[in-house]
Amino acid sequence: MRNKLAMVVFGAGLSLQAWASDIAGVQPWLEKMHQAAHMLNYEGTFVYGQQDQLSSIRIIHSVSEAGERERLISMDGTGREVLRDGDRVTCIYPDSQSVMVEKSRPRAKYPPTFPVEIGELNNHYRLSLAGKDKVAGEPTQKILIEPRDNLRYGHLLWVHEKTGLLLKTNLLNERNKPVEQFMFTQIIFLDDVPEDALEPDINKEDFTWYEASDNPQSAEAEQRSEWYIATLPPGFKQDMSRMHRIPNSVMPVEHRVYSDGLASVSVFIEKDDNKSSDNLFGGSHMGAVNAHGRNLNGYHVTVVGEVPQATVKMIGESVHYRELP
Amino acid sequence: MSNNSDEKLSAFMDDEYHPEVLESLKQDTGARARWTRYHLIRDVLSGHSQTVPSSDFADRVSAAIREEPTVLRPAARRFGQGLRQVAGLAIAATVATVAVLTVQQSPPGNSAAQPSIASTQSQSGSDEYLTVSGNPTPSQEPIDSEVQSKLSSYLVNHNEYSISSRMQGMLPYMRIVSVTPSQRVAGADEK
Repeated sequence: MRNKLAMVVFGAGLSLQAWASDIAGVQPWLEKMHQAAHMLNYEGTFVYGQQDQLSSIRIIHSVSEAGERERLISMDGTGREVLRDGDRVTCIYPDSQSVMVEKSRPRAKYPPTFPVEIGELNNHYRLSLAGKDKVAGEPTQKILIEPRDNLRYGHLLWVHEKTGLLLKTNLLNERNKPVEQFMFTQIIFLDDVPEDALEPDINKEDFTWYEASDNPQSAEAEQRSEWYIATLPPGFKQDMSRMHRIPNSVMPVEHRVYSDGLASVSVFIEKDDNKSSDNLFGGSHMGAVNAHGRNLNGYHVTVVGEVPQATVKMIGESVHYRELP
Repeated sequence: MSNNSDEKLSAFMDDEYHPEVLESLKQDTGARARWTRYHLIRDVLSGHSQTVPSSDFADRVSAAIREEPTVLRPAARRFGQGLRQVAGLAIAATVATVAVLTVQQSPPGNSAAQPSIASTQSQSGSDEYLTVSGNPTPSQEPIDSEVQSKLSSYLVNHNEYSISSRMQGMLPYMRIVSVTPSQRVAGADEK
């Protein structure tokens, strides 16, 4: 009930109509937005809302010869932090007194290449310019991306006119109701970012550290897998596949990414180590990210993605095992 | 009550609507006691037994409602209205009984997508009861912290390779910073 109420509050004043696709108008904005995400120094505060929760988060982003560095700090609750530096992602959880270090990041290409194939996107989404608006006192261009079926979310984007930075989004379900929103309330663009702004405030001496040991990356082309997915939602293709270690697992995990050009879904397959207490069974969600887990042939399959629950479930249930010859 | 009405009471708990069960719950203290016991059994079976109210809790709520002064509208009353109000009050007491028992079904902090007995008489809500019939995951439990931590780890790895991260930089990590994974009713669709 509270959930529905929050939806109504979030949805108030937001009415969408069916727009014809306007690829030529939208593409330059998406390219500008992609560049801005990686090329700017800034510091700001945004609010993040999902279900019946609102939170406030501070973000610091810096770019130098050394690469991109970023830091997110929750301004409420227990003050979780995430830092990204080179190939490391460090998540600090004061609530469980733990620090998780992931070293899984793909080697960043610089400058990053635009990842969206607009022509293909058009098969599954309607793209349109949706007028102008102001966010955090800055003029923005609104872009509406509407899915053509119920298997993916829609997006309403507010892109900063001057820099192209994404200043606000609504992720929309099939009834055009936001399932997740974020919005900058304040942002400052900087010439450079002081070093100490990118260091964690939290004294984590007493924290337990979880860090994956060195991560042997197997070459994608050589990899043969017993696993295949019988039915993918229309438009989804495999983007990536690799074996790697994560802090919580002894054995390497097989990780594959499928995408329709905009929405991505990860499938994680790992051997069930008889310690199934940390495996997910059934559905779960983290904001607009849904997850689905099940056992199969002594392995555990977990699907994670920014798509509706029905979509992760569909993918999870069509994972199959075959003997390799 | 006969065995047949016991069966109906049980079916009523599983969202089958039988008007005579509602009637017996209104009038028969034995039926109400059985109703409470059945819920207690189900709660214990599905591991939700920490907050079981004392057995006369529902009766005390009903009694408290009976003691409440009846507020009558000052408008002119037609013949028969008094009777309807008395009936309305009896139903209100029954609804209170149902509501009190239903609250026990939902764990704290997981109010989303939980069908409740009181509101599912007209729609199917059978997902909720999978837990009783041997589903390994009690679907309404908040997720275990080990599962949470593994899911967060998966989410970090997913973020690193997702298109939205390449388009939006670090923003997808807002989910790690501010959301704790929670269990959704297995098989429930997007709300």
